[in-house]
Amino acid sequence: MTETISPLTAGSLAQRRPLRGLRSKTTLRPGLVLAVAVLAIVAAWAIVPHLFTPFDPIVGDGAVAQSAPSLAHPFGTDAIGRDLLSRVVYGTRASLQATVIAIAVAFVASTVIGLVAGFVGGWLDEVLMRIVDVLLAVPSLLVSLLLVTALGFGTTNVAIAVGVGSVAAFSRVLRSEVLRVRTAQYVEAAEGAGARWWDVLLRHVLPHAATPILGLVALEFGSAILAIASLNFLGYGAQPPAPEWGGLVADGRNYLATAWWITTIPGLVIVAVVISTNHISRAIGVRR
Amino acid sequence: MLRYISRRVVYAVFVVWAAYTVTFLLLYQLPSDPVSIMLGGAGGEVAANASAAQKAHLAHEYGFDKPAVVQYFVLLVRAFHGDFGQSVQSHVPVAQLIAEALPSTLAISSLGLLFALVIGVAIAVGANFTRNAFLRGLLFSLPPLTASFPTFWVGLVLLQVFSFRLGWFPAVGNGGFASVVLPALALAIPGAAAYAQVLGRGIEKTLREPFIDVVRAKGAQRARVHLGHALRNATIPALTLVGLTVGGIFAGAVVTETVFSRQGLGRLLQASVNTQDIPVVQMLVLVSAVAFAIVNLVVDLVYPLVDPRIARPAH
Amino acid sequence: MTAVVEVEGLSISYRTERGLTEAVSDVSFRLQAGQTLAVVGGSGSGKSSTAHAIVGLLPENAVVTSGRITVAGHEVLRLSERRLARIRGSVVGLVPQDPTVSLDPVQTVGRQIVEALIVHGRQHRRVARAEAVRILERVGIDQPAVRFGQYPHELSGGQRQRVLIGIATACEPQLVIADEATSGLDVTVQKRVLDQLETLAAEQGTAVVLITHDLGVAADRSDAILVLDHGRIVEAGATPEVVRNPQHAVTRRLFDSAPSLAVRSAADRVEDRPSRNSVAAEAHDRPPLIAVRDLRKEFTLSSAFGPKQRLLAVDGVDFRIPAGGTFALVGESGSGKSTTARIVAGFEKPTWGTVSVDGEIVSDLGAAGRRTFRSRVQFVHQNPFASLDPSFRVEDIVAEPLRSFRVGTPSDRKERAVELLAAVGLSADLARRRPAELSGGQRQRVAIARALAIEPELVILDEAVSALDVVVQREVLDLLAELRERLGVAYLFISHDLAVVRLVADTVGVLQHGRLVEQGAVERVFEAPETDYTRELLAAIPGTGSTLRRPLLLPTTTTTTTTKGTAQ
Repeated sequence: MTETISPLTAGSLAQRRPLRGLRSKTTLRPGLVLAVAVLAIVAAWAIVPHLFTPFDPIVGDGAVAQSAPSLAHPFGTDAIGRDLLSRVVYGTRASLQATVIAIAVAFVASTVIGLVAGFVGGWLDEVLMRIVDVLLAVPSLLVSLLLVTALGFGTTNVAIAVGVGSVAAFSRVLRSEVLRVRTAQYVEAAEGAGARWWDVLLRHVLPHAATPILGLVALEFGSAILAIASLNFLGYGAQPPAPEWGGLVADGRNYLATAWWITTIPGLVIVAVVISTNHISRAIGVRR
Repeated sequence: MLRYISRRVVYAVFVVWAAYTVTFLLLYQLPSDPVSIMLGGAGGEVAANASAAQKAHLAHEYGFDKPAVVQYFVLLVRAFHGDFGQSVQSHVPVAQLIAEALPSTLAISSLGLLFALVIGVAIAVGANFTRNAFLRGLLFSLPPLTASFPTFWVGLVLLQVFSFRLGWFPAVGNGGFASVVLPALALAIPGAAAYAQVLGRGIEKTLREPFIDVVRAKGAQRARVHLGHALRNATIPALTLVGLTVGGIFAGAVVTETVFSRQGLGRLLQASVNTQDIPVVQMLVLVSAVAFAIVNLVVDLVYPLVDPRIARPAH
Repeated sequence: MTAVVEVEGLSISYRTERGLTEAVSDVSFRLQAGQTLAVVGGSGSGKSSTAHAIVGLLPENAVVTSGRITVAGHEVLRLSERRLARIRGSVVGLVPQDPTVSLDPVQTVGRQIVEALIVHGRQHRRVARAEAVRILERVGIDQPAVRFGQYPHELSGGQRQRVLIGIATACEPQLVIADEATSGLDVTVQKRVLDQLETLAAEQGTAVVLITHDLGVAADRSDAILVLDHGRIVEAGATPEVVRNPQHAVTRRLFDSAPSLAVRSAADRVEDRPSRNSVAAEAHDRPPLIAVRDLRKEFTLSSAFGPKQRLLAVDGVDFRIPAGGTFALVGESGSGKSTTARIVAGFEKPTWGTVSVDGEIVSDLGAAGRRTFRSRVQFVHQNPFASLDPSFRVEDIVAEPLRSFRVGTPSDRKERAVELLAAVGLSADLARRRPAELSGGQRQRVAIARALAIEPELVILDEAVSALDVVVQREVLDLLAELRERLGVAYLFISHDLAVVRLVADTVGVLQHGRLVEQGAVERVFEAPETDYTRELLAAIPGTGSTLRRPLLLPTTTTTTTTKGTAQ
């Protein structure tokens, strides 16, 4: 039917241009700058932890056990007098490493599934999506627990388990992204103009799918941190005394009444990182 | 209609069967050795003192000496007859373990779901209805914010504030209604955030639909526009989400029951993963798939009642 | 007699990223009971903003910067939201633009009419039900008691628009605003709905503000016309005067380009261009470029309930297009015309039947054959906002077919792109821009330039001008005619707009429910239609004799040989 075109449509399409939205927002939004800063600090913690704290993360000083946050110990100390800041800082590497592994596992598997399902379509799409539906019936945490049971404990196994746990949801979103671009009229128009399939994929589909996928990876980063922290909290990750974020929160469980900071502060660090990644993913333009 | 119902039921059964198959593949067929895991206990390292005879006995008992396909069908047939095996650790039948833990988890999950729905709908409606820009901004930013909170941490903070500081609720245990409130609340928060977000955005989007202009042009007041038209329309996509998050509530129970030291399915799962008690873990995951299938079946059956376009498609 | 509505010095601006942009400036008019005022203008003329301001339904980013609106003694702009709600429906009714999205999809139409009756507390719910059924009957809906319990999706577009008229007039308001109320409907339905609105207004003595972009509709249906351009009134007056003697250039342009009015002048243009008839005559002697034989396309609709439904979208379509000829497929929405076009383009496979190019059957072609086919047949989509890759520059878009078929070096292709842009009337400095920076008309020209790049023998235009503003539409049509003369390209032209078809086609096929009910030379079909359906379609074109309630005189700028009587 007659479709009246409004300038509004033009505007929203303009925002779909790869990375353009991101650039314009960076200059405008202080929240985004803050989010990037948080991630930069955390990344620095993972790479050069010793620059941020003079205290040893493993050996404690009994004399200062359970002392509240102060200038000397900004995050306070734990039950056996270890500096909480240095536990958090030194735990960053293990946590981020696990997150990166989880993302890598999830991303590779999901990209293959999502691209194949979305681009090839037909019965293959049908079969893959039915399998994904079934996997979605089991919550990702339980899929991860199944894998931990089968593979055994440890940081790497937890990371793999979390990655596999998110494959179903992630590949479903990836597929719909690919499909959104794939069925876009300009793609059909390019095919009509004689473009070959690899040209269509490389020149029209991937550039438009890349930005939202990048946003999804950022979002996935946040949920992977949460999932890994949960498994560590349950005690399947790094074994004590090695520090890791989720485990640090668990360490404070018995001191809730007397030392609130042992659980609260590491938790806040996790929250800050997850909020930052979610914020960045939103800025890139992912809506969920 | 009958055809629709039967197709949904068949699909629900299919999901449960497929989940069973997936758990079987992951637990029994990964390139790890289930017998060693069973003998080894926590950590997965093979107990040095497990003799070859012990191993062979266990392998025979669980059928690991047979081909994978045979194992699969043997276990499937047994499951059909209500025999889900027994715990490797305690040798209690798995079905009995689950039956004992179920009521407690049902209590916190159903109350949690109720909390999640009430909080989620209230925030979604409030955020759209208020004309106060600050309140609106706050209510809209709250759900994505809480979605960044680790569930276990929320539970611990609730404990700290309401049990240790204020002393309103007991910190641990399974006793009475008061002990259910905090775990249910901790369990409700991720769900509430998700519902508030999807429903809030749905209402916002619906309010921009042209038909809302027509409702307003009739002379309808704000409350009628929001509650009578926008909410009802926005509920339809949000309903799917309720179905999808039910599994999440069960997963949340694993963490929440650990935090609040409550007995229940979640705690049982946590303990079973700890001891790598494969039959128990498999059954518990299956229980969650069954819960998922049932709730989604209910959602599918409710759909035609709220969306006439499904019940009576146009010709 | 006092005015029902009085607008004085109304100015409306919109808050945008670049500050306030004025959409309506200093608009004033008054309208008395029982009168119909047509507010006419192209897109962006401010006609819709004016209409919405009267009902107090402007979008949130709109600001009324000055002016006064009085409706039956109420100062609309001064009322609180609550008080405004009280006069909406009871004093002013609104018939919205698009009936398909203007009813709440999850409530029965009956309930939605009942709501209109009870929100003002005038009627009890139980009484309202019977009244709602009467309203359905009054707006001409069959089986009103049954329809009462149906949902919007179970009604056709025309029926939904009737329901909306019923809602707007339920409380017998003194003023009804029809905001492009029929522009989304098929012509036959449009006529019936407008008749209905007219009858009701006459019965109730309602004043009507008719917002439209189509001067044909305005000429047929109003007592006075107000022409808006860029938010300003450029012409106002009694309808006969404005029609007879338009003063302003904008009005004349609207007349010239109004598709419904252009039909009559087209007859003369045909005489200017005898070549068209001879092309059609010659065509029978040569083998056709494209032959479509017994084309059928079946879709299976998966429905949540019951068995899968099969829909025969295209049902035995046969036609031929000679080299250099223009064949138009017309029909209402859902008639299968777009599906046919997409099958001919090779985007979809037919369930049955064949499409052949120069005697070769397209579906039998191998990979190499298909590529040759691609270079011979090009496609222009309806929506130029969606069919151009937003990340590409205009020159890359236009050169894409050349790149795909490895024609020339990259720098040759850039040069050629500029030439092609010139051919479609776009300047070379647009080459480096991206689609988002172009207007709708410019984009459609880019799409056409791309389609012509590899000098195809056939260009398929799928409603390629329907989304464009009437003025731009006319320019693009002229361009197509010119390119055909120069390059000898053939067109398959898909349109729901008979008036447009008459301007461009040699032969025309009329589709109804997937079947070709009539086919022949365009003059023959328009002058002497053979089937009732074609006659109905023709009669419904606004601005033609049969729908006039007062004699329509053509503007003096066009020759006045009208095709009277074609419609009867």
